[in-house]
Amino acid sequence: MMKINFKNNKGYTLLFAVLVSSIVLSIGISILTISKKEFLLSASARDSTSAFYAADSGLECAAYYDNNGNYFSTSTTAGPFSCADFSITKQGGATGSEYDPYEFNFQIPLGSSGACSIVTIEKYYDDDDIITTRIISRGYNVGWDSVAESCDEPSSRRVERALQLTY
Amino acid sequence: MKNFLKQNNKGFTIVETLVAIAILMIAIAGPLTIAQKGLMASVYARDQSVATFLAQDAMEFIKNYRDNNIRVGLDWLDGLDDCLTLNYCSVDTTVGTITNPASSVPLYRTESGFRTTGDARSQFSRKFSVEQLQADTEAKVTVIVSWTTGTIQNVVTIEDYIFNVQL
Repeated sequence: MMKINFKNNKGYTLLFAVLVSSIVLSIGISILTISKKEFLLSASARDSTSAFYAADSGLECAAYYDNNGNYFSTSTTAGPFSCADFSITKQGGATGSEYDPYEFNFQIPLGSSGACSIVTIEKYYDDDDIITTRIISRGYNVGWDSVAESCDEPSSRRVERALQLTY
Repeated sequence: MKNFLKQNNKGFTIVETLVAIAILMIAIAGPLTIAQKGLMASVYARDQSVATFLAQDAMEFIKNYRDNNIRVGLDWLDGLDDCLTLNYCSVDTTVGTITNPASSVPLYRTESGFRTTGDARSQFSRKFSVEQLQADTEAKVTVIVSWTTGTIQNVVTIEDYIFNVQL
C-alpha cells in the first residue's frame, strides 16, 4: 500500500494548480462583490443628494408663491405660476373640513436629468386656532413623465427625499 | 508494459509544459483582472462619495449666503450675481470667500477641510453657477465637482432652484 502511494504522487501538481487558481478566483470574486456594494452605496449617495435638492426646490417654490401672491390662500386665487421654467397650475382646493380648510398640490420637473418633486400645501388651524401652513415636498432624482406631466414614472434607481416646512 | 511506464515517467515534454503554463496563466490572470477591476470600482465609489459631499458643501454654503443676504437686507443674490453659466465661480467654504475665475478650481486637502489653497492638491475641482430665472424671484444653482480616476474624467452635478423666500 505504502509503495503504491509513493509511486502514485503525480496528481499533486494538478491538485496544487487547482487549489491556487481557486483561491485566486475566490479572492477576485470577493473583491468584486465588495466593490459592487460600495459602488451602489456611492451611487445612492449621489442619487439621494439630487433627490434632496429636488425636494428643496419644490419646497422653496411653494413657500415663495404662498408668501408672494398668496397662491395657496383660497381656492380661487390666481394661477398659474412658474418654477424651474415650468408653468404650474395647482390642484386641489377646499376640503370641506372646518379645521383644515385647504389642501393644494402640484408636481414639477427640475432640470434635464428627470428629477421632479411632488408638493402638498395644507392650510389648517393649529391648537391655538391660528391658521398654519404646512408644506410637504417629496423630491425624486428621476421619474418625470413628460407626457402625463407627473412625477411617478417608475425606475429601479428612483430615490425619494422629503422635506416638511410648517409656519 | 514496464518499459512503457519507465519511458513515460521521464517528465513533461516541452509542449505539455507550455500548455500547462498557458492554462495556469489564464487561471491566475483572469481572477487577478477581476480583482483589479473591483479595486478600481472601489476607488471610483470612494471618489464619487467625496465629490457628492463636496458638491453639497458648496450648495449649502450658497443657500446660507442667500439667507444671510435676505437677513441683513441686501439684494438676495448680492455677491452671487456674477456667477453665470459661462462665468463660473468658486468658493472656499472654510473662510467663506467667493471668487470668479470662470472655470473649475482645484481643491486642496488641509487640516481644516478642502480649501482652494494649500499644499496637498486633491484630485477634485469644483465650480458653481447661479442663473437668475425670474428677476428677484428665482435662481438656478448648479454645482459641478469633477475629478479623475486614472485617466477617466468624472463629474458630479447637483442642481437646486432657490427662491427669494422672505417669511
